[in-house]
Parts: sequence; C-alpha cells; structure tokens
Amino acid sequence: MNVQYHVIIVGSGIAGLSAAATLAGHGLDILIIDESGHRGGQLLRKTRLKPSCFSKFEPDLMKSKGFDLVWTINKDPDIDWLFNARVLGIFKDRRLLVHIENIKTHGEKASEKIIEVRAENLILATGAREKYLPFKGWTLPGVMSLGAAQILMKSYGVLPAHNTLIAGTSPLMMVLASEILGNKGKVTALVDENSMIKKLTFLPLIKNHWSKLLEGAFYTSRMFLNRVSVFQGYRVIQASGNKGFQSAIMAKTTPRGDVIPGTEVRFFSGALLVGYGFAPNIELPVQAGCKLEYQENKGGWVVKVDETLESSCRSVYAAGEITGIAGAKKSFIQGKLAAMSILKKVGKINARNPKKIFTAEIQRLLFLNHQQTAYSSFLNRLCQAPASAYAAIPDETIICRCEQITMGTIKKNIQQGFDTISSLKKATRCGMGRCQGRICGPVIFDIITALTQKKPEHIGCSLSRAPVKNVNIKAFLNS
Amino acid sequence: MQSKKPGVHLSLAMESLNRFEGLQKELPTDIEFKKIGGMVIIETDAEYRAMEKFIKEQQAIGLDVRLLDLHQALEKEPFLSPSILGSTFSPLDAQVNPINLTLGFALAAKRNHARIINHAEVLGIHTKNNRVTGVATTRGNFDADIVVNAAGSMAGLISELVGISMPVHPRRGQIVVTHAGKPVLAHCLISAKYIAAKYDPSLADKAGQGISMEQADNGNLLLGSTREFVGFNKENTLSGIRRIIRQTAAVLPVLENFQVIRTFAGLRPYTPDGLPILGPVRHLNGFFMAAGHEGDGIALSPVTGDLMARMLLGQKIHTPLDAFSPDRFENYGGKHHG
Ligand SMILES: Cc1cc2nc3c(=O)[nH]c(=O)nc-3n(C[C@H](O)[C@H](O)[C@H](O)COP(=O)(O)OP(=O)(O)OC[C@H]3O[C@@H](n4cnc5c(N)ncnc54)[C@H](O)[C@@H]3O)c2cc1C
Ligand SMILES: Cc1cc2nc3c(=O)[nH]c(=O)nc-3n(C[C@H](O)[C@H](O)[C@H](O)COP(=O)(O)OP(=O)(O)OC[C@H]3O[C@@H](n4cnc5c(N)ncnc54)[C@H](O)[C@@H]3O)c2cc1C
Repeated sequence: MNVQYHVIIVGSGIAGLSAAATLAGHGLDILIIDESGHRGGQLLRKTRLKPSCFSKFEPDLMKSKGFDLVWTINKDPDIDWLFNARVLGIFKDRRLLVHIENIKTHGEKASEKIIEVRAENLILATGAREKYLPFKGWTLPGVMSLGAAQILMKSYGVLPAHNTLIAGTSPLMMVLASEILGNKGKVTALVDENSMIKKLTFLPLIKNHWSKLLEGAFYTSRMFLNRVSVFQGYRVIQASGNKGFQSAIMAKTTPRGDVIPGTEVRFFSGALLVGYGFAPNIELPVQAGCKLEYQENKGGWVVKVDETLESSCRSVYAAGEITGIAGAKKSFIQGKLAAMSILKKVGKINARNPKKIFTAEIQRLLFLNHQQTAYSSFLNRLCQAPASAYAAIPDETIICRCEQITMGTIKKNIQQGFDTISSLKKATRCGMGRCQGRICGPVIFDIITALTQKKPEHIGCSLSRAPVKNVNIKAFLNS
Repeated sequence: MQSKKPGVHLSLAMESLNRFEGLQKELPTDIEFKKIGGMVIIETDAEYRAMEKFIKEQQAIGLDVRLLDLHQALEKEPFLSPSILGSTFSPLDAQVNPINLTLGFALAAKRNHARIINHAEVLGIHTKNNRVTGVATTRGNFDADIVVNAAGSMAGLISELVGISMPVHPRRGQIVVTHAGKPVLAHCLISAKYIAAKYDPSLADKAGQGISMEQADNGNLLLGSTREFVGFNKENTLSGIRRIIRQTAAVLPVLENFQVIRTFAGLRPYTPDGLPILGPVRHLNGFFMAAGHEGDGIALSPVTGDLMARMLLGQKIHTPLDAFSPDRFENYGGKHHG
C-alpha cells in the first residue's frame, strides 16, 4: 500500500475492472478500492446455489468478460486491491478518506480503521442503486428490493421466501424471477407497471440492441414455461400482514398511470420484491465537486463528463452507471475509455502503444459509447414510474424511512413552498437520518416533480458530505 | 450564556434568553427550546485558573454559574471521562433547534404579511441623494425606503455594493453529526479551550480550537467545531473532522459506540471585536446593518430582531447600543456615499 497512486479507481464493478485492466502494464501505480468483499460489482456476484441447466445459459457476454478482467488484473503487480474498504469522502486534491473493515477468517470483525490515500487521477465507478415507488405497507419486513433478493440468493444462497411476488418496472424483475425458479423457488406472479402497448412504444429505441431483445424473449419464454402469471399495466398498491408481509393488492392502471378502481386483486405470498429502476451513486462525485446534470433518459442526476469522461473537476473521471444508467456494456466501454484518456494524458502512448492504433481505439470506444445512448433512454423510460403514481401516494405512507416522514407531511410542506430537496429536508427532516437520503432522495425528487412540475434544476438533488455511509467513531480512534 | 463575554454581549444574550420562552409559544413551529444548562469542561491546570477568573467576572454581573470538581461534574454527566479536572456549570445555558427556529420566524413573518422572495440574489442597492431607494435582484427590482443588511457572513459583500466597507468575514465551522442514539448528554458542553479560541485567537493556536458537544432532541449528537478563516469555502476537511472526533471522544469516551452519519460546515459572520453590527449606517440614509454575530447568531436572534424592528420604527430603545453601532468601523474604509 502506498499513500499516493497515479490512478485510484473507486468501484470494482465492470467499469472499474475494465479501467484497471486497460491501465495495467504501463508502469503506473494503481489502486482499486471496493466496499464489497468481492470483485465485479453488481455483475459478478458469486453464485452459491447450484445452477440449474437453464441458468448455465448465459445470455450476456459481459459476465465472462468480467471474469477475464479479474484474471488479467490479478496478475499485474502494479495494481493494489483494497476490499471491504469504503471511500467515505473525497477531499481537496483528490485525497480519499477510506474505511477499512478487517474481516478475520472466521467472519469475526477485527479492528477496523481509517486511512487516507491520494490520487493523481481518480476514476469514480461507483455504480447505481435501486429506486422505489412507495406504497402502503412497503416498510413491512418481507418487502424488499430486487437487488436485496439477488444478494440473498447469490451471496448467501437463501431464497427470499418459498413463494415470491415480484413487482415494479425494472428489467431485473424477470432476471430475479428466473433466478428464483432456477433455485427451485416459486414465483407467485410478476406485476409489471408497464403495459404491453407502452413497452411497444419504447421498442424502436433498441433497434441496434437486438441482443437485449433476445434476452427479454429468453426470460419471457422462461416465465411462460414455468406458468408464472405476468400482469402488465398493473401496480402493487398495498402490502399487508401481521408482523411481516403476507399479502399484496395490485390494481390495473390507465395509460396515464392512474389506478382503475374496482380492478384490485389480492395475492398471498411469502415475500414481495420491488424495483423501479436505478439511480446513479453520485455521492462521491458530488463530494469531489463534480458538476451534475439532470437527464431523464439517463436515469436522473448523473455526473457531467466530457468526451474523455473527465468530470468538471480536473483529473476526476467518471465511468459506468454514474454517468447514465445503461447496463453492463456501457460501463465496460466507459471504464476503458476513461483509462485511455488517462494514459493519453500522462503520456503513455509510446512505441509499445503507437499513437495511430491508440487514436483509432479511442474513436471506436467513443462510437460504441454513443451507441449505448438509445438503449439508455429505453431502459430509463421503461423504469420510470409515471408522475401520477408518485402524486397518488397515500398520505399515511412513510417516504423517509429513517426519520419516519410521511407523504402527508411532505405534501403539506411542498404546498407551503418547500419545493426543493434541500428546503424540504430542513422543513421536514426527510433525508436527515441514517441513510442521509440515499433511499428517499430520488423518491422525493419524483414527488416534488409530480406535485409542482418544477424544473429539475430548481428542485436540485441531495448534497453529499462525508461519510457516504455511516462509520463507527471507533474506526477513527483506532487509526 | 457561559460562552459570552461579560459586558454588553452577555446582557444582550440575557435579554435574548428571556424572549425565547415566549417564542416557544408564539412561533408556529416547535423550536425545541430547553434550558438544559451547560458545562465548560476543564482539562488542564492552566484552563482551571483561566476559568476561575472568567467565572468571577460572570458572577460579578449576576450570572448563575459555578465551578464543579471532577466528582460533581461526573454526577451531572456520568459519561464524561474521569480524566478531566472539572467543569463549570450554569443552569441558564439553553438549546434550541436552529432550523425550526428559522422556519418559525419565517412562517410567523409571513403570517404578519411579510413577503419572502426566495432564489433572489441581491445584485445591487439603488440609492438617490444619499439614501437607499431599493434593491436590484436576480428576480427583479424592489423599491424600499429602508434596506437592512442581514446577509450573515456575506454582509461585507452587500455593504461593498454601496461602497461601504464593513469588516464581516466568514469564519468556517465544521460539525460532525452522529446517529440518533440513547441519551448520553444532558447538557450542552463546551471545552475551556473553546472559550479561549473564541476570544483570544493567539491562545487558541496554542490550546487547540476547542470543542462543543450537545445531543439534539431526537438523539443525534452534534460534535463541533472549528474556527477557520478560509474565505467562503464551506467544505469539510480531513484534519477538521479527525480533530473534532479525537478531541470529543477524549472527553466523552462513550462516543466510541456511536456512528458518524454526516459532517457539514457553515460560515459564521465574524467581526474583529466579536460583537455584532446593529444599527443605521451613518453615511447612507435608510441603510441598516444587522449582521456579524459570529457564533451567537442563533442565541441572539430574538433580541436582534426586536432591536432592529424598534430602530426601524423609530421607537425608544433602552439597551445601550453604542458598542454595536456600525459607526465603530467607520475608519475601516467606510466612505461617504454620493
Ligand atoms: C441492485 C442491482 C442489481 C443488478 N443486477 C444486475 C444483473 O444481475 N445483471 C446485469 O447485467 N446488471 C445488473 N445490474 C445493472 C448494473 O448496474 C450494470 O449491469 C453494471 O454491472 C454496472 O457496472 P458499474 O461498474 O457501472 O457499477 P457496479 O457494478 O454497481 O459497481 C460499482 C462498485 O462500486 C463499489 N462502490 C460504490 N460506492 C463505493 C464506495 N463509496 N467505496 C468503495 N466502493 C464503492 C460497489 O461496491 C460496486 O462494487 C444491477 C444493478 C443494481 C443496482
Ligand atoms: C458550526 C457552527 C456552529 C454554530 N453554533 C452556534 C450556536 O451554538 N449558537 C449560536 O447562537 N450560533 C451558532 N452559530 C452561528 C450562527 O449559525 C450564525 O451566527 C447565524 O446563523 C447568523 O445568522 P444571520 O441571519 O446573521 O446569517 P445567515 O443565517 O447566514 O443568513 C444570511 C442570509 O442572507 C442571504 N444572503 C447572503 N447574501 C445574499 C445576497 N447577495 N442576496 C440575497 N440573499 C443573500 C443568505 O442566503 C442567507 O439566507 C454556529 C455557526 C456554525 C457555522
């Protein structure tokens, strides 16, 4: 471990990995930091349960590419890895405050500590998290995000429940259902916010991405073969249960997204998984001082970058989901592109790396990167729940879970003129709790938009300060 | 209370304190005002001697404050480290929720037909024949016979707009916030070093910047702070955060069971003599100052508002105000305006 590196990469998802592999072998000191204990981010979670013959068929090439990258990087002596290490904050001159959790072999925690490292060049590749559409009862135990269920299954080998109901807008719904079936679980039903007609209108956007369509067809046929009921144009409007989740009510919606009274159906199930798309993890870039831009087609507030993927902050690059939600392929391309921009900047185009080939490769990556734009708008339009759905959240529904702030309180304060994320936070405490608005921030943004039709630049986004996530004071005292 | 310099400053604070209880009922928000009492933590012999002297001055003007030995201090705050020497205690120190207080003032002002125009940056101040006639903002012009400069740490910039130099400078303070935990602090705590840092920067450099700690109503601990001159920079720094954590945990070891959920930084409006600037600016009719409260702007807000309102309405004021007058900085580069 050094205290300074030529390049530090935050995040070992497919974006971070492809950046590291591209930078490898040029004599640069490189450090990869990831808060998780495994490499590969969302894409390469290890599979514990024995896969069925179905899931052996990998519709996406990216995963095997990812494993190759890990192999390349592991061989490189210039690359340091730091795992179970969370970047808590970015300070002046790209100094990172990092929390390291030392896990002993038995899984018992050894002394955690805090270190500081400085980067001459920083690549932020912190990925995305899921978004939600709150409904009555969404805080009951047994109601969880698609991603959480995925981690349960892939990392711990545990099914969410014997019978699982899945709802939302996310393409991950099908993936999850497929994984549950592959692990001998049952899927009660799949409740898709988007009607068939709506999905067809988005279709032209993916004309250059037929593999994605194939993927969709593959999953759909799997639902069909396993006799999973798929409801399109329906929304879960309520979850109930005594101590934990027991049943959910879904209802049909109009094309505008209003619930049609009288169409309610109740399902009994052991767990409810929900997902309404993704929001980029922009906390660290915000701390670094990177400018953001709001792009509906990219999934909301994203890091603003130029062609080289450099942000508005000198020597801070952004790659992957944080510049726009578009899935693994774009992350892979951007990791490479950011790395090549750095190589070019620090003069690593030489005899071994002739300029002509280098320039051609950059041109190719720029083209591929641009190609992902259409898929990105498809994905994000598909995932975005309609404004009317956010406006119609019942008053008693909790929006900010940490501070227990309800829709009623939020609505009242918006009406009083607290129509920006930061003023609403001060007026109601929403986003002031343990998670610092990571969960409710995007939801509140959509609620304000739905209720006021104000511009994104007016509403703003949550400010971030260190620490990105809670950290034990003990860790500071140990170091 | 205990952190205020005996003299006009302390009397102003006392007046403010008296107004807070009424505000709890008067304002439409719950300002969470509580006279919880406060302690100044003493860690060294030198601090002990300094606090003895400081307390005598405070007692002389009738402030209810006394010295506690280690045993007595631990009785009041059992989680304090037994390595401290003792503390002071005053039942007068109070706590208020500053966000709710600010909101409360705003909503109450609205209720009395004040118009609050947000997202409007003042770009210029209109004058005619040596008197203000209004302001220019990013949301248009507004006519006015009186303009009050209450721009906090930016008050210096506002008076610059009319060529008047007022020595209000931003002094950054960083804060570390913990998760909402079980009650571990019943009083507001500051360290004797804090008082030193506040009133004698030369002493502060030797003694460190001092700390402050309190636990908000909902259980969040607020650990502070720093006193830095870094322009209008509101960033947190690594060294600032680390120092706050190290020093507060030394006095309150139970902190090691807490988690940090956030840090933040704000700018205090500093003035060279530590007193706010309140009143009319002599060379420009209709232009008033109400800024420069440094680390006391919350505590002094009720009395500031009250005094300013009386001044603007031309009512009689009993408090002697010379010490706060903008005139005292006339030679600071303040010039005639035409
Ligand atoms: C919950 C969820 C599940 C998904 N599942 C799939 C799937 O099954 N298949 C698929 O193709 N796509 C999936 N995706 C989409 C996925 O985002 C992209 O396919 C792609 O993997 C993104 O790559 P990335 O490198 O941009 O980000 P990620 O893969 O998300 O990598 C980001 C990495 O940064 C690390 N990180 C973040 N913040 C910090 C910090 N402060 N300090 C240290 N490390 C940090 C994270 O631990 C993570 O490893 C999923 C997305 C989400 C949010
Ligand atoms: C870490 C920290 C701890 C503190 N602790 C305490 C404490 O325990 N007790 C206490 O009493 N005080 C405390 N303070 C101090 C207190 O916060 C300030 O004294 C107080 O907020 C000052 O109030 P103000 O109204 O004068 O200025 P501000 O609250 O700064 O308000 C000034 C307003 O003017 C606006 N403005 C500025 N320029 C323009 C322009 N050109 N156009 C339009 N609007 C403009 C700003 O947007 C702002 O809304 C603390 C401060 C810090 C930073």
